[in-house]
Amino acid sequence: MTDNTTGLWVKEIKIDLDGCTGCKSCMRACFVDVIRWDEESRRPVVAYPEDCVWCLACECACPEQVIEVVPEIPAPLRSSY
Amino acid sequence: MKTLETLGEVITTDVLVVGGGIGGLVAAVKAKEENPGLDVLIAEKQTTGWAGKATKIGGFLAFLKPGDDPDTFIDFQVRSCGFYLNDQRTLTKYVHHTNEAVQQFADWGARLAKTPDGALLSFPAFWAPGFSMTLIDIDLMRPIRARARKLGTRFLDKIHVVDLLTDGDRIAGAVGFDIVTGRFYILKAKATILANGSCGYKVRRFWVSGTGDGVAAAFRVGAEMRNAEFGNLYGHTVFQDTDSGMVGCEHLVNSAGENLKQKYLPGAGPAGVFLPIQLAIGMQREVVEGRGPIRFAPPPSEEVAHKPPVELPKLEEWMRRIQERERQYGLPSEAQREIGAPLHGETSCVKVDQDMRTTLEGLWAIGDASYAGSAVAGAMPSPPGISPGSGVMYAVISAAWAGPSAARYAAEAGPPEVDGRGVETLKQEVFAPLQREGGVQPVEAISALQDVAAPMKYNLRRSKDRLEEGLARIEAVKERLPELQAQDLHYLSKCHEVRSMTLCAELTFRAALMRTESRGFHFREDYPETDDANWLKWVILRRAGGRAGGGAAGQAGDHGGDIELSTESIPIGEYTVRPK
Repeated sequence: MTDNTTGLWVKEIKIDLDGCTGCKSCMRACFVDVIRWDEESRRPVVAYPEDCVWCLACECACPEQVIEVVPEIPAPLRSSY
Repeated sequence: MKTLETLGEVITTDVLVVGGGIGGLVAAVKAKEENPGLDVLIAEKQTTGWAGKATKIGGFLAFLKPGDDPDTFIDFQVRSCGFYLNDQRTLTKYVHHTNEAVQQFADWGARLAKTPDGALLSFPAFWAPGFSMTLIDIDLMRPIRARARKLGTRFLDKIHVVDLLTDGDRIAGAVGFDIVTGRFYILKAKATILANGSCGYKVRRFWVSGTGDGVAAAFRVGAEMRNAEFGNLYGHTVFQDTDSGMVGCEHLVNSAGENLKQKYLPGAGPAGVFLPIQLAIGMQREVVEGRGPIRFAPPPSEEVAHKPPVELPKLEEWMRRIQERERQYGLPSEAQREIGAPLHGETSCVKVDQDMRTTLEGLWAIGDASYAGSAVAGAMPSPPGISPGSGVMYAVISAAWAGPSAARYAAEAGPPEVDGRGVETLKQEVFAPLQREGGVQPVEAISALQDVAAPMKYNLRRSKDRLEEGLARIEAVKERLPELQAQDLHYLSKCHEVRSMTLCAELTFRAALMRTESRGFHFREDYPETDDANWLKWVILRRAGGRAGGGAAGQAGDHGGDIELSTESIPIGEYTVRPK
């Protein structure tokens, strides 16, 4: 198994803005402030992907199902040994 | 002197709840139900009703079903989980409120597991006698958020509450900042309830929100801490490459194929999903002595049970997504996957009484802010070591006690006076990391903290030498806190999380160094025996000299001050369960 060298939990967070209605559900669902709101475009923006832990709450909350989170595996999980 | 209004947005309320997870929501609802005339405000770092840990994995609720035997359960909980460090009065009160709490979820409209004929599905707890379990769906906060809103609770989201305000010896609210706009908030309150969780040092992915902000803020204003040494939960065995799986304890093998449960817990019965301390220490020993990595090797007939046994649609959908993602992007199925036992931490040491009052007037602490500090768990981290289903339950039950207690206090108390000079100092401290050019980035400090908090050699397989080595490393992080630099408001929030986590780590390590015996999840290689003659005591920590002056929590550069340690004898003679 190769180690995680990026220190990150995810590779990418994809939001298909063409299908997004701007309901803010994803932003509310995020418990670590990854997704912010862009007042100009009235759409969510992935502001801090480095803090995403692929809990997938945003995906589950999206009524249009336009979000996909791509995890980084192996994870940067600190070893206890 | 500047007036408060020139320093920031001043909001006055009767009851301030810090944290909008499950505990904070229930505390707000219960305060409003106690006294609808009171103003109740929830300040939450993210979004009220979605925040915290209750929606992450979740599922189990452990409770005393009618017909269960409370005495048998309490006897087991004290002898085999808490090892006599429980406050047995609070534990007994807790146990007798569990059934009511499950009913309350049903009344609010949360989705509980049902039998085919519509009754509550329950089954005997597999980890303890005299107790039962049921399941709840992961959208459990939604109806409670709706209830809180209907009762007129105000929500203030995206506010990171940093420090508590004082008026003489009384807590007078809190200060914080909006992580989006940067606006400074001065929240004046007659009563304040801390409901913002424990500290997990951002090691495990579903627990990254737990940074001990409430624990640290309470300590800085002089609140006492209890059972801080039990902030060292290594609760599950999981696949190290994904931090998921929860593979249990039965089928772990070393590189030679030896079964580790048989090796370290010979003759033990089924171990359930939680990791016993002897096995955790054994796993670390295997790896250190060159017999790693540890693998999961179930007999071909057994698969990891991922699917909940009942219909809970949100939980099922979430699990399906996680599994799909692991299949798509994870290691190939033939890969030899390492098993880890990552740190949960769960430093939750704010000392509280049976109504969740802290040792400071006007301040309550509930849920994971005070689980260890309430001594319901005893010599176990929260949720107490081998007691699945107690995290959400303790949060809602402690909230149901604190809400009405705080409401009654607020109805009688006068408005607090808050000194502008103290608030100005706090404001400077809050925003200081934004002013610095260069310095320590919060991610560096988090990494350095994890290097101390996560390894079992420091935090589980403890000894004087290694605890002192760990403390020296924590001190090194602490010395550099005044150099923390934030590139924006999101990272400013992280800087304050680092401050909180550093203090939580120090509290845990100092308490662990003082307890010169082994008990529960506190194992000292240099004191391997349990010492009932000398250690039926709680370790109490508080800030040396009480709180800082100035009418508020601290001066610029305040990172907690010195820690004063003492012990408090457990009134074991007054309790029902005593060492034989």
